[in-house]
Parts: sequence; C-alpha cells; structure tokens
Amino acid sequence: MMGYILRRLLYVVPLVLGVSLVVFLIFDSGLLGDPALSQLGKYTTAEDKAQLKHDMGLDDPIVVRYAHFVGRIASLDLGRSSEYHVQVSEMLARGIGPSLSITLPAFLIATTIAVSLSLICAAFRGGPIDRGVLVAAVALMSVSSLVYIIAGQYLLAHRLDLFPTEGFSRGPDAWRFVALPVLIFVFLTIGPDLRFYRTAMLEEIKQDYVRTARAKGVAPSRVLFVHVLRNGMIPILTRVVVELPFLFVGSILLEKFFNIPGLGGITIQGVLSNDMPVVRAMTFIFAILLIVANLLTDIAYTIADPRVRLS
Amino acid sequence: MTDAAPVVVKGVSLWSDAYRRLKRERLAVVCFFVVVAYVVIALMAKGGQAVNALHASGKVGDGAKSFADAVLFAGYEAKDNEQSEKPPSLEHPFGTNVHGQDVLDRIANGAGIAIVLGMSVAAMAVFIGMLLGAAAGWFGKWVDEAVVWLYSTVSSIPDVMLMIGIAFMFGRTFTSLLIAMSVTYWVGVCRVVRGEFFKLKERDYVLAARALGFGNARIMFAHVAPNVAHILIIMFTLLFVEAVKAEVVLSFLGVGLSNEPSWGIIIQDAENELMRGQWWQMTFTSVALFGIVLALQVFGDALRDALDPRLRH
Repeated sequence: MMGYILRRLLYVVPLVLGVSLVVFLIFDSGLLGDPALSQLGKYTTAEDKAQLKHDMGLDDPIVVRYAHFVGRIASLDLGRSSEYHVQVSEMLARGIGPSLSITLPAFLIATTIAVSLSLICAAFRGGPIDRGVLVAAVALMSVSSLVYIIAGQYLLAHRLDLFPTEGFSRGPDAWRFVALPVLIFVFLTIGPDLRFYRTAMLEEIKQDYVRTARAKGVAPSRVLFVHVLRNGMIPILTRVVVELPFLFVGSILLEKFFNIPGLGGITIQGVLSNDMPVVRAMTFIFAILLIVANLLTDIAYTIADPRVRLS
Repeated sequence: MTDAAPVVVKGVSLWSDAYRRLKRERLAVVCFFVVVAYVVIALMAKGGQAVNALHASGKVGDGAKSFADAVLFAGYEAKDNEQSEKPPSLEHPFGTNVHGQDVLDRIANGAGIAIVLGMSVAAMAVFIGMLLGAAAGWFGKWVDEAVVWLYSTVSSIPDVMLMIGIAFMFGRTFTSLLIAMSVTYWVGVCRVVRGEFFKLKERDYVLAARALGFGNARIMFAHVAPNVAHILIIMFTLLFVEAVKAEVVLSFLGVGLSNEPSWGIIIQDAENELMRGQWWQMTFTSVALFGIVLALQVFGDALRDALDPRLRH
C-alpha cells in the first residue's frame, strides 16, 4: 500500500508541471492573445508597448519565458493584479472566507438530502416514488443555473423581500446574506448528486451480500442503512472529495449575482476588468486544489477498499 | 437421421436493435422530435442571417428581405423605439425588449447560435478524443503515457476555469468559444475510447486482420473504430447538452459572444427588465433553453440505454 501511495504522490509532479505548461500556453505564451494587453491603458503609444513587453520579458525566447514562469510559481509568486495593484495572493486570502461561508453549508445540506433520497429511491427502485424523484432530478438539472439564480433573487429577495437582494457581511449577521445563495446552491447541485448516488446505491443493492442479509432475516431498513449505505460510501466519498476544491472557489455565478467577495466573484471581476494576473492565478490555484483532491481521493480509496491495494 | 433444414437465426445488428428499443421509449421519441424542431428553427434563423448579409451587399432584393423578416426570424436586429418593452401580443408573440426588438426573433437566433456551436463543439471534441484515445489504446507504451498525461493535465483544470481562461485571452468570438470548449471536452471521449481500444485490440478479428497483412491505420479505423461508433454517438449527445449550457453561462459572464443574440446575452439583458416586472423576455428565453436541454438529456439517456449493451439489465 505504501508503494502505491508513493507512486501516486510522485505522479503529482508531472501533473503540476503539465498544468503550469497549459496555464503558460493560455495566458503568457501569446498564442491566444497578447499577455501585455491587460496591463496597457487605452491610450498607449507603440513605444510604451514595446517598453512594457521588454520589462515583462516578452522578448525572450519562449523556453526561457516558460522557465521564468515556473520559477515564479515555485516561489509562490502569483503576480500582481493589474487592476488593484496588490498581490493576487492577498486577494485570494480574503476571498476564501466568503466563498466557504456559502458553499460549505450548502454542500452539507445538499449531500445529506441527496444521499437520503438516493437510499429511498434504491429501496423503492422502479416504483412510482423512484421514478418521480428521478424525473424531478432530471427536470431540476435541465433548468439553467442562471434561471435558478435570477428567479430566486427576483421572487424571494426582490418581490417577497425575505432576504437582502445582494451584498455580504463579515460580521455575525452574515447569515442573512448567505441564506438565499445557500438555498439556490442546494437546488443547483441536488439533481446531478441524486442521480449519481442513486446509481451507486442501485449498484450495491444488486450485490450478493444484500441477498444473503435478506435471506438470513435482517430487517429491510437495517440492510439499507447498515449494509448498503456503508458499501455505497466508497463512490460517495469519491464524489465528495472531488467536489471539495469547488467549495473553496465557490460558485462563480452565485457570487457574481449576489455581489459576494469570494474567489468566484474575484475571478469574474478579473475577467470583466481585463485583469489577466487574477484570472491566471485563479486558473492555476483551482487546478492545484483539484490535483490535491484527486490525490486524497485515491489515498482514501486504498484505505477504504482493499481491492484497490491489490491491483 | 435425415438432413434437417438448417435453422437460420437472422442476426439483429446493434443498430437495428437499438432503433427498436429507442422506438419503444415514447418519451424519447417525443424528445427526439423536439430536438429536430429546435434544429429546424436554428437553421431557419441561420438562413435568415444569410439573407440579411446578401441583402446588405445588394445581392438580393427587398422582397427576399421581407420574406426573411416574416418567416426566417431575420428582423432580430431591427430596433423600434415606439415598440419598446411591449408585453406579448399577436404581432410580437413573445413581446419586445427595451429597444423594441422582437423577442421571438432574438430567441430563434439564439437557438441558431446555441445549436450550431453545440454541434460544432461536440463534433470537434469527439474527433480529437477519438483520434488521441485510439492512438493511446492501440499503440500503448509511450504514446499511451503521453496521452494519459495530456488528458490528466487538462482535466486537472476545472472545466469552467479552462474555458474562461481560453475565451478570456482569445476574445469574444465564435471561434474562441469553439476552441475553449473543444479543448475542454475531448477528455471524456478520449478516456472511454482509449479503454475500448485497449480491450478491442486483443480480439480475434484484429489478429485475423493482422494475418491478412493490413496496416495499423486500416485495422484501427476500418475494423476497430466501427465498434466504438455507438460510444461516440452517445458522447456526442452528452457534449451537445454541455456545450449549449456552457455557451449560455460563458456569454452571460462576459467571456462568450458579444453583440449577438446569444441566450446568455438575452438573459443578461432581461435581468434588469425582470426587476422592473417585465417577465416575458426572461421567461421565454429560459423556457427555450429548458426545452432543448431537457429534450437532449432525456433522448441522450434513452440513446445510451439503447446503444450500450453493458447497461442493459
């Protein structure tokens, strides 16, 4: 098992290098667009531009530039925001809190509901309850996330005045601003989650050990909650861990609509104000979080499921 | 024993079997025709845009233009301040927006953008994924390692961020979105095709083809590829939905199209109108989007069940 984990750890190195290469190709190579453009104002002369390009090291050969880029990343220098002239890392540190205050409760609520419903579906598979829940899940998934957010904001905040329309507070009254985004987030994620967990539970309920448990007279509810749920935890765990990085970054759309200063909101602000260093840093950070999450999933797998260790 | 007449069991091909199964799912058939209707509307809108372009360059007369305005949703850009923000009526079934533009025309043109982009993205992603996946699965060794590294790297960057990043740098054009989404979505196809090729290259028919002296390319594309065709079709429908949804979100966020009636942009415009109580633009656009996504999703699920024998119980 240690050998496997070690190999898996080593595989992170080429992945991080790969991500840095992709990020470099997108943002700094000049293949897709001019990296100096976002630093320039509207009225700049050709000389200013040439000077800036020289200062940014854009005259160097591409290999040298990539090496510089990797060097900066390795020293954790994500660059300065061209809009706010502060270190991007400072902006990120301030954004994590607001993002988590929405995604974390929403994620816990959505996962609890989705897992419970998936167990109910598995218990009554093929019946009207199962079909009804499934149809509802597909219908929920087919509505664009934009529509949920706009409709929720319009009806619940604007018309009925149950929640503030937008904004955020870092104090104890934060829950007022957070409640509606959390509610919408739950609606957004519950459809796909439910479909996934239901498939996982149905996969387990077909297994021989379930028939054995039934045959020896174990109560149906015990079979469901103890036997099936426990074994179904493995695919659930995978999905949960893979969703973790998205919790940190938050929902880009939600944060934009509700004007919440989280990481997602910062990203979109960066896009709209043409702030390339911020967008680049967010892309990179996001990828690193996902790599770490995948690594944790694989390690959790080897601990939870002995079959993985052998192969 | 006398010679009995040989019993001939007529084989059922995957395709005819799948067609039979699909036909039995009534909901899926309905959804298929809904998708067809959207495609027809999209093509009509694209035709209307072509007439507009021809009219602007003086190649067709006013008669063709007024026909296109009436039937092909070509009047989507015509502004009329007298008609600003009118609720649905006989003349404007979906109402008008703040510039007095007909919402129905704009939604039809939005369908044109969403569907043409969705299909192009799905086709590109399936093509790239198929080529790389086939090469990885077939040749193994360093080719496989290189492809696996490539798709692990790309899939380490979350889809939204990768698309935002590419579209952000490339600019707000159709090509930009096509590149951003194709670069993102080929990964899923590649993974599945690679796995299938790994499995299929051990089959006897591959050995037989080798014995006949056929080259790698011929065996890969003439013999093995038809056996993954059903997977490619499934992936195509899945990616089609994804691309339609993604286009709306990206355009809305300001990295997608601009100055075109994309559904994302219509929704963005409609947000302010909704706050003033004008529901029609938002409602009809959302319903249009909901319709195609739901239809594609239900049809795609039925198609997968019909085509993928492993999922049959």
